[in-house]
Amino acid sequence: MSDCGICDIAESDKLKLFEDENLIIALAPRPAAPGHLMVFPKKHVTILEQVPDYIASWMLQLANKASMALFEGMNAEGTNILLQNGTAAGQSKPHCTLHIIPRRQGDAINTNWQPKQLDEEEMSTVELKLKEEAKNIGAFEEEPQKPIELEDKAAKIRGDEENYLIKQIERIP
Amino acid sequence: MAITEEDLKNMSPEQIAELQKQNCIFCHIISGRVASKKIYEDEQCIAILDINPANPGHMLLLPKEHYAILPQAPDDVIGHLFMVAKALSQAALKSLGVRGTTILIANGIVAGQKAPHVMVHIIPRMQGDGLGFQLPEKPISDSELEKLKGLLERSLKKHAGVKEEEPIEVKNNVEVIPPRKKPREEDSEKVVEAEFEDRDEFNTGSAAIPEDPPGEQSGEQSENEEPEAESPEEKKDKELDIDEIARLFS
Repeated sequence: MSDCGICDIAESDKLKLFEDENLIIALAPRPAAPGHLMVFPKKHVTILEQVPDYIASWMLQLANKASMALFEGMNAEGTNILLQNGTAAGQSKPHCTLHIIPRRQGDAINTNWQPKQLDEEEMSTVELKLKEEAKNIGAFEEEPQKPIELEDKAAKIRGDEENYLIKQIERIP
Repeated sequence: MAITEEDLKNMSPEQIAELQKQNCIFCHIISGRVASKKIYEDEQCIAILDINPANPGHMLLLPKEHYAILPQAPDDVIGHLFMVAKALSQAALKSLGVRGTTILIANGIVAGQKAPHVMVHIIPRMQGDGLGFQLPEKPISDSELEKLKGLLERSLKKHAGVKEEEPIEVKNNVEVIPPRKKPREEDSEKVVEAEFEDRDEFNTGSAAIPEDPPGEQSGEQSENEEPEAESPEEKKDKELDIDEIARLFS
């Protein structure tokens, strides 16, 4: 057991549905609705800003696939994809997590808000500040090239089953 | 030109999509025909300030291409959107002095989607700002979890699928999938009912007030209930009909 509830989920097979090199899809242990899924990085990172761009990119792609699975497998009438980034935003676990929640008519989940009325000046101030900062956006971080790719291919040729077995053995404490 | 229900029925999905696009306020914003407070723009997407913000600095990030719901958008667009969302969240943290951000996507009217154009909400947050977005956390039994795994694993693996070049995912597929229990219809019904009861209990005293459903939803709901009558077998095998979900807006 680690100090992080999400890392614990990553270490057990109980809730996991999908896993690749960087990300995990798992069922929420305390769901907002049955079928509530979570997509999170394997590596322990607290907020989205710490997730490398190329992993963040794949994160929403996976969340969308999870959302499709909810439409298909559970006949969800809608889905929400939600990220609470920072405790001020209601983040309860210190591990960046995208929530995918199946929605039904009349469920008690509330993702609406009361619009705030801002005067023209406030809107312009916010606009200018954000715009100035957003000028720096671009040059997204790409996945680093892996020099060992050839070996990976060799491993594939040796057979995945063997790989799988080796992995199993390695798991034994 | 007025379009009747009859016209809609005779239209191809492509024609309906084209019609949606013509009537989409966000497409007009993207093309510049409707004024907006633009924060960021590149070849694929645009971010503007929401005119009905949950908090000051609430941004809407939109793909330039018209997609009614996220599952209609191609992977590269979705991936790009989230990298930009991350950067915009960071921009809000840096420039507005806020302490967090809520990033939200809604698919479908029941999920709170207000317009038929995919958008990512990026909402700056301050401690105690009184906004909701708090998810209920409800207990769930191990047997229910197993059942959900059975319902979701196959279609998840199909969509998240096997990327051929990545041996790691291939490996994943070799993993032994526990035998899927076929849920009987009454079982799944029961689960849903119980959850609704729980939810009511949970909500007493919490700040979340379920909104009155807008009038237009009542008609759609009956449509949505039809699939419930199908046998679980059919449910499982039914392909995801994205167009059907997207049509909720037409």
